[in-house]
Amino acid sequence: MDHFKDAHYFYIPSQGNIYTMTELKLANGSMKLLVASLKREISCFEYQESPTGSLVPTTKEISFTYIPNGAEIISLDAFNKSSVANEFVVGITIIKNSNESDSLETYLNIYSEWEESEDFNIENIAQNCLNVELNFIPYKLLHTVLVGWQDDECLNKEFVFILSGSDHQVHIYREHTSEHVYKEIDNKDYFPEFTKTPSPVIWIDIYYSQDYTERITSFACECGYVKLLKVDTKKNQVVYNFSTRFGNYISRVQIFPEDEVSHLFKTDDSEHATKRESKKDSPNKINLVVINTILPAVIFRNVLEFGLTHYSTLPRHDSTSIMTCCEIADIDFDGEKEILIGNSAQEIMLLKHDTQKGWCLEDVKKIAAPVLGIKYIDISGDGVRELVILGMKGVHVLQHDSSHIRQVLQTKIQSLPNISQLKIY
Amino acid sequence: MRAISLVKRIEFEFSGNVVRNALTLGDVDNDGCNELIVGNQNGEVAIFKGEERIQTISKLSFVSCVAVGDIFNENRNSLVVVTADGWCFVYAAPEVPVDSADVIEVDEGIEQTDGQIQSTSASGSVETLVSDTSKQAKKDDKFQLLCVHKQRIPANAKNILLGDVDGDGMIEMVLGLTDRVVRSYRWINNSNKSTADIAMDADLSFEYKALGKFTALNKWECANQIGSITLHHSFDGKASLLIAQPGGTFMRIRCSTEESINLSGVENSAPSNSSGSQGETIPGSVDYQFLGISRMRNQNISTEILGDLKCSLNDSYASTSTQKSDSSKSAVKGRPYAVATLDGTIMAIAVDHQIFALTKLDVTGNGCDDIVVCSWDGQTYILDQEKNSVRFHLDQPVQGFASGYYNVKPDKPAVTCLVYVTFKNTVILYYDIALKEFICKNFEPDPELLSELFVRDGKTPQEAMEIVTGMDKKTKKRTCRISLIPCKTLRQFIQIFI
Repeated sequence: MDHFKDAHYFYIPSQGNIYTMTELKLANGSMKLLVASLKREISCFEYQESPTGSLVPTTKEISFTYIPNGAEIISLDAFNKSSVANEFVVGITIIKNSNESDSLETYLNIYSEWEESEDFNIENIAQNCLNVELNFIPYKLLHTVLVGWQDDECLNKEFVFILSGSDHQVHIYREHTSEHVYKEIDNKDYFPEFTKTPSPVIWIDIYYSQDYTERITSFACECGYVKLLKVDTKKNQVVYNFSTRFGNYISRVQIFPEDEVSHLFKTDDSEHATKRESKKDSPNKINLVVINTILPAVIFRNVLEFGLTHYSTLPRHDSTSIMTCCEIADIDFDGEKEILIGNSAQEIMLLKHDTQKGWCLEDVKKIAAPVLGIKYIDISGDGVRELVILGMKGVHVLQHDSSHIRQVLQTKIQSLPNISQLKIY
Repeated sequence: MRAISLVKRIEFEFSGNVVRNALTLGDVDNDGCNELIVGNQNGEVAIFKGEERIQTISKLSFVSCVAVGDIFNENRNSLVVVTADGWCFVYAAPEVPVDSADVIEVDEGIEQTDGQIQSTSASGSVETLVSDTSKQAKKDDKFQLLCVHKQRIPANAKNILLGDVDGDGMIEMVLGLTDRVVRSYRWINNSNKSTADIAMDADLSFEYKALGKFTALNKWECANQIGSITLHHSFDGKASLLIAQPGGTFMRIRCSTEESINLSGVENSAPSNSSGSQGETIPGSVDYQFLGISRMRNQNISTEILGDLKCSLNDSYASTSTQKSDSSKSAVKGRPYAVATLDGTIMAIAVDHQIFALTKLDVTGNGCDDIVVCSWDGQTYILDQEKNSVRFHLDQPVQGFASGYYNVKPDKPAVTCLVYVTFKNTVILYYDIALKEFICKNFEPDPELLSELFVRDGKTPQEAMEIVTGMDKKTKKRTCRISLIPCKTLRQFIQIFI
């Protein structure tokens, strides 16, 4: 990880958590980062390019309405309803401490713009709030698409919020466009996989494959219970489910396909995405990474075929730190994905797969604070992704060294075979 | 403004108040490695080496200045400690390592050293050993500084500078006093006995080993309080002292030999080429300069000055130096100097924080000195000579700051470091500052390289080049991102999309 250089660092006034960093991918391809901290401050970070070509980092504090004094932010999520315009919806879960010490009010605040507009204005979004009162303490907030089917025809895809709570349940919130409210919908009708769990769900990861006909869901609970399910979205039935239990608190589960390309198409070219995906997904192996806080992390390979039987533990170099987050991406451009795990010992561990030795601890990068979140996104907007790290005190942006990228690009292009020849065959 | 976070750090414990000039980095024991020396108001001076404190000199009075330099002009560094009540102490490491047991008797302050010899089995913590002569005799690499000289000087020194101010090849000591006086001293050996006898005298407790004394050379009185003193060399190599005065002004003193003073009248016209600066030329060796920035001209605001900034002398620099001539004036082809006022104006860049320390350090390692300023609340600004800036925030208040080079491990080369003395009884040293360039840029793929992509697709080089130059930014970005994926899939991609 020596090729990463410290590009920027900004403070967050109070500590965030593993749920408080999300990215906003604008319709024009540029990326912004939204980071919330415990004591109500939400900052929006972006890079602007100055006329001279240098990158100017800007951090703006956004004041979201309906977050009262004394409230604390638990989790944050955002998505873009439209694929061509900017129609952002931001969900923030808060906990409000009332004067009476034993009553806690919790809310899911959903912010969106009144109407679709060309230019993105986060301040406008922050002023338009829909309130959902919760009767549990919110945990992980995420969004996913809900696909409506009618006789093998994809009717519509809409985004829903998924929120796990202290009542050991997973709640789904769907927008009622006519009434302009968000209402909770029954799990059984749309997400049969979310049944009652033994303890609060810490993390949920959802992956759609086979052109949205299959949904692979995995979630992990506080007590160490991990569940992996495959759902047929047409029939709305659980195809199979696997579960296992680890003896500790789990901080993260992550489903990832071994093949990078379909993912890349999806993010890059939405019009081509569906076409390619159906072809490419079939041979693709789906892996699951479970990050335990105290025990070593575990990777389950090819879960669609073997369930949770083919697993290996990921190495670590010390047994005292708490692992909090992970990111799975090809950060060294060799075509193989690496696993990055952040921990409380102010480190990021880089794990690399070796065909003979399996997963090896390749490198450890020191960060100035305990790590709460990692994202590998193109925040600078140049086509090369950056590593964005949410630390206890602030957000670090690590950029690839440009001379290194240049070198990689050169070797790649030079090793490329002649395409015109290939086309003949 | 771009900000960075620093990871590699060492924290030392050191209590007491530390004034602006009571900390320095230098090779005090002449082993080729830099140490950190910090003195406090309670009369303690601590020397840190690597990751541990190797010596504490105590029982001095209010330490106001600490400096490391070859004050005896014998090609060996010594430590000069000046206290506010007018004592100047010189400490030196003996040339031959003394048996540590002998150190006990040395009166001036090193009393504690005996009990604080650290074991080399680096467990990280400071291990206190009972004096054991046989054990310590083996530790040849452990130097203890001994007080070799003590002298009464006028009280209230606040700035110190060790350097050759008059161009005679000898190191002088220049002190700036709170009563607006600058004095210079030179070490004069007493010829009877050589200073090389230090080791032999080590056990003689009340006899000072260095024979000779500091002889006063000059005294200058300034109109206003002294901000800082710096040594500057003009393009012809002539040294001058720059003494910062409030409101962004400064006094230049040329204390050279007679001939050069005569020349200085001619020289004076050269640096005042900038439109904003006017030289109040006094015939002789002292002149006043002030800067053209009105913001800085507040007489109530203290000023810091820093001379002799290293810069790579190339053509591109020459052009920039004239552009910024009204902030940091540089004599043509000479080295620039930096002036900052403590309300936060550094070379015409205004920052929101009250700064207090102005230092130079080649952070990026490109051969040019960068300016490092620190404010009381821990904001640190690193500026290069093109006014690009990077910020680092130490999230606690700071009472003392220094930048320089430090050897974390004796076998490793010295690395850049920033030293902060906090109000929480700690000295925080950040080392190996990971800053290679000031400006972050987007990755821009070379057009030639991208056109290669299309050549592979059967286009002629000219056609390919046209495609690349005709690309809009978004396509270019995408092509670049796609190209970074492995070859096999890249080939598929090109077949589909391009």
